[in-house]
Amino acid sequence: MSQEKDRDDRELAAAFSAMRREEQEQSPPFAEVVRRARARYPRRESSWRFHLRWAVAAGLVLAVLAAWLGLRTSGPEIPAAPAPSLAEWRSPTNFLLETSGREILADPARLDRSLLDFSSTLPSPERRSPS
Amino acid sequence: MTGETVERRLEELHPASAGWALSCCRWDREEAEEVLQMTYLKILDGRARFDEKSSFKTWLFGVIRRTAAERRRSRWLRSAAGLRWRDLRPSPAPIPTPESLLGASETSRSLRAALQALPARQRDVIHLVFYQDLTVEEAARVLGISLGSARTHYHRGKAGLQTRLAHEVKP
Repeated sequence: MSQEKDRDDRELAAAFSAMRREEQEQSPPFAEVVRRARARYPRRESSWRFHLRWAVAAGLVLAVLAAWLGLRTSGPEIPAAPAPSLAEWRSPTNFLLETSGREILADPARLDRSLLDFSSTLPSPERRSPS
Repeated sequence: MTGETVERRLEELHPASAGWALSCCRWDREEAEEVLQMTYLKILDGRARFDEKSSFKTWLFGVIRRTAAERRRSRWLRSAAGLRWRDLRPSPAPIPTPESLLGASETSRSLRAALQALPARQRDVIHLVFYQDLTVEEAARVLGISLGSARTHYHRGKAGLQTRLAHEVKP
């Protein structure tokens, strides 16, 4: 099995070797390929010059953008309304807290006084004693 | 590595590079030469630099592979956008059939036909190992894939190639 495998590999290697020889005979020499390449694609400037050019272009675009934004925001100033102080502020839903009997719970209860004040409903002492 | 050294190494490896470029371009000679031209210019003009992390041959083959892929992509994008390159042929170049390759022996023609029928990765690994005499590890480095993956492609590719060649010999 192993020998057969080796034989197969050798056959493949021989076929590739034949193909390599044929292709190498047909390929143009190195100097010719480089000459054609130079004729077709003229020498480019070095990479740092290429990057420098891009950096300058990007800088110009940014400068123009910054100038434009600066001009846009520097128009006539509108005086801003004074901000209300925190102590003056009232919630717009404050009225919801105004419930009936709220005054009863506003202060802590006193021991010498009933929460229920009947004095206004009771008759005055003068009216109470006819005799 | 100086410019002169790089040029000398490129010249030494030129036959092997030409073979690899042909394989990357599926044996389209014009396309392969353009890829080779672009690769050489990239290296000679310093746009691709050898970082000495691998052998020069492995690195060079990687540059050729990437250049071929970039060119394929750019051609596809331009044709998809309905544009035409100034140097693009009017219609996409057809993949040459083995029969159209003049001067090729019967064995080479059969081998090319069998190789073209393989999936790209398998074809690349097989080419690098059998044609370029690289190890599977070096082939993996050229293709930018893991060694395990390259081994799988190698075994599947070899089996596929042998089956196809056997069918050609005994129809």
